[in-house]
Amino acid sequence: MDTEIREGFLCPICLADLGAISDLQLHFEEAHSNEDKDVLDQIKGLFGKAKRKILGSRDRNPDDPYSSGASFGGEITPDDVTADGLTATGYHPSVWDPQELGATRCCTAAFKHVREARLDRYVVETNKLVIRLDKLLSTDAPTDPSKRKAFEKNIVPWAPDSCVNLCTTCGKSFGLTRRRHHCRLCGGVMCSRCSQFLPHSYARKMINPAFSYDGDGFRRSSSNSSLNSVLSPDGEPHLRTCSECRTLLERRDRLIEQRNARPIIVQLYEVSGSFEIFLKTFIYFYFYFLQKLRLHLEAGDSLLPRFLQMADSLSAGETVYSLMEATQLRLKILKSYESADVLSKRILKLGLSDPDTVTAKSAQLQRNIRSSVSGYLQQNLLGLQTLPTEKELDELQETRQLEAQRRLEDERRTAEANKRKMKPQKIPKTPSPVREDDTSRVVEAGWKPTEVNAVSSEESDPMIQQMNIIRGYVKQAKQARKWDEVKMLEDNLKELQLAYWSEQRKS
Amino acid sequence: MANQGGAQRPNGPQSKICQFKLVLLGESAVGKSSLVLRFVKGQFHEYQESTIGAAFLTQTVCLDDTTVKFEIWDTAGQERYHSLAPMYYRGAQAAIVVYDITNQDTFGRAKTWVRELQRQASPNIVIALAGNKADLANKRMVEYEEAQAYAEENSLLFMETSAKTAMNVNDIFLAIAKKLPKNEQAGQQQSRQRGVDLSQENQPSGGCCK
Repeated sequence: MDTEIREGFLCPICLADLGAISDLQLHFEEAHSNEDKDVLDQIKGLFGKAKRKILGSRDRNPDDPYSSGASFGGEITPDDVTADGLTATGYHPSVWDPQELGATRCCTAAFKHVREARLDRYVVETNKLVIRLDKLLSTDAPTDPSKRKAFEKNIVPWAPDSCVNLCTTCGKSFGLTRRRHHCRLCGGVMCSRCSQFLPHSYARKMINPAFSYDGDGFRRSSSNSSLNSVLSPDGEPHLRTCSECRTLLERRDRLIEQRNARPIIVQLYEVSGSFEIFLKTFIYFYFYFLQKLRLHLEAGDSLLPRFLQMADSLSAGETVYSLMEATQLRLKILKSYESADVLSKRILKLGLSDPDTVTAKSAQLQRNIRSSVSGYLQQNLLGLQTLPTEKELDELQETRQLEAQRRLEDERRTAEANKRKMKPQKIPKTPSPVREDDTSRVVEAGWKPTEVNAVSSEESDPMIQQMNIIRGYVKQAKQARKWDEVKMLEDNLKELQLAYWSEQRKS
Repeated sequence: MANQGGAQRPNGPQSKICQFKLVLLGESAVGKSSLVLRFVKGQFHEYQESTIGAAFLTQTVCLDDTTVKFEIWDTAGQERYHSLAPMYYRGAQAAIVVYDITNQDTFGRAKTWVRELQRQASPNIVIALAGNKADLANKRMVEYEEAQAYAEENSLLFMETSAKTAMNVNDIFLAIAKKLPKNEQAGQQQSRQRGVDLSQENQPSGGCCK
C-alpha cells in the first residue's frame, strides 16, 4: 500500500496534482468526463455492498425475495431503511435525516390475486363440505349401520384402500393394529388416532345457523371409540372426519359467529329456534323504532328553543321575527313530536300479539319507553304556546310602540325635572371618598412603553394599526425584561389577529 | 409565575399576587391616558397626544396582604377605534369609564359605555366611573350629584378625579383593587392561564375521576 500522504489539488481519479482549482476543474472535465459514470457506478456498487452487508446481518432468509428490502427488486422504501437502520446499526430513526420516498411499486393487485385464489379454494371446499354434510344428515338416512355406510359412500366417494398406504395426516403406515378409516366428508383415509368426530347436533348447527348447539364441537378420537364408527363414547351419533375437513368447517363456523357476534343475536339463539325469524324482525323493528324515535325527539328539541324565543318576541310585539317563520317552525316541531309519539306507540305494541316471545322485562321496557315519551311530549307540547294571529300581532306591535313612546317622554320629563331641582343648590365641592385605612399604597414600579411611531398610517385599518402598536410594545417589553407583560401583549396580539382574520373573512 | 413572586415578597409568606385586567373607556379627550399616566408614572403632560388604538401599561398596588397587579389597557376614545374596544373589555375584571366634568356629552357617552359593559363584558366586572378634570370645577357642566346618583343606581364606584392635580387618581385604582375578588380562584385562574404549576400540591382535579 502506498502510505505516502499527498497534498494539493489532486485529481480524485488519476491523483495528478494540478496546482490550482481552475486547472483541476478543467482537467477533470476534459480528462474524466467519460469516466464519470463509471466512478459513480463504482461508488454505488460500494454502497450497495455495504448496505447488503448491514441488512444481511439480520437473520433473514437471503433466498426469500420479500424478506430483504435491498434485494426486493432493487427498490427500497424509506420504511425498510428506517426499520433496518434501527435494528442493524443501532441508530435511532429520529437521527436520520428525512428521506424522500424513493421508487415504489404497488403490490396490492398481486397480493389480491394470490389471496383470491386461496380464498376461492377455501370457500369452494367449505361449501362442498357443507353440502355433503347436509345430505348426510338428511332425515331419510338409514339408521342401520351397514346401510348407512352404503348411503354415506354414495354421497361421498371413498378413496380406495389400496391406493393409500400411509395415514394422510400422521404419515404412519397402516397394518393390523392401525386400521384405515374414511373421512365421511372428503372420503380421504386416515388412522383412528387422526380421526375427528363431528356430532350430528353440531353438524346441524353448521348447516343452519338458527339451530342452537352448546356442545364442545368436534371431538378427538379416544381409544375405545375407534371401533365404533357411528356412536361416540357418550352415545351421540357423530360423523368421522379428517382434520383438514374439521379445520375448514370450524373456520367457517368461526366466521359466522364473528359476523353474528351481536348481543341481540346471541339472545336470539337462546330463544328456541322456531321463533327465530319473528324475533329477528321484532328486534330489528325495536331498534329501528328506537333510533327513529330518538331522531325525531332530537329534531324537535333542537328547534324548540328557537321557537320559544320567537314566540316570546312575537307576543311582546317585537318585529324581529315574522309570524310566517314562527308558524312554520311550530309545525315542524309538532310534526317531529307527533312521529315520535306514533313510534313510541308502535314500540309498545311490538310483540304483544305473541306473549310467548316477550319476556316480562322487555314488556316493561317497552311500557317505560312509551310512558316516558308521552310524558316528555306532554311537557313540551304544553310549552308550545299558540302563536298570536296576525290581527293580534298588529295590535301587540302597536301597543309596544305606544309604550315605548310613553317611556321616552317620561324619561325626558323626569330628567328635566331633576335638572331644575339640582341647579339651585351648588354642591359641596367633590367630597373626598370614604378614606379607608392606609395600608394600601401604590408601588411606584409601573411600566409603560413609549409611544410607537405608527401615526403614519392614519387612514389604514385600526386593527392593523393596533397590531403594529402591540408588536412595538412586545419588543419594548422584551428589552425591559418584563416577561409577564410580554406574555400578555402576545396574547393580545394573537387575539387581534384572530379578530382581524374573522373580519376579513366576513367582508 | 405570579404565585412564586408572592412568596418572595417581604410582606411575609401569606402575601399573594393577583393580576387583573383593567380597561379604560370613554369619549376622546376626557383624560383617560392622562389618568393612567398619572397612576403608572406619576406624570402629567399638558399636551397629551391622542391615543392610537390602545395603550398598554402595568402597575402594581399593595393591599394589606395582597399584591394587585393591574394590566391596564388604555383604549383610544376616537370613534374609529371603537371596534377595538370589545377585544379589551372582554375578559377584563375591571373597567374605568371616564368622562369630562366640563362636557355633558362625554357623560352621556360614559353612560352608553357603562350600558355596553353591563351587556357585553363579563358579568361580575367591577366598573368605576371617573369624572375627570375636577380641577376645572369652575367650568363644570356635569354635577357631582347627578353622576353620583347615576353611579349608585348602577352600583358603580364613583369619584371625581384630576390627572393634573393627581386628585383621587390613586384612590380610584385602589378602590377598584379593594372591590375585586382576591380569593384563590382569581389567582389560580391566572396561574392556569400561564401553564400549570407542578410544585403546587393540591391541584384542583377536574372531571369525575379522583
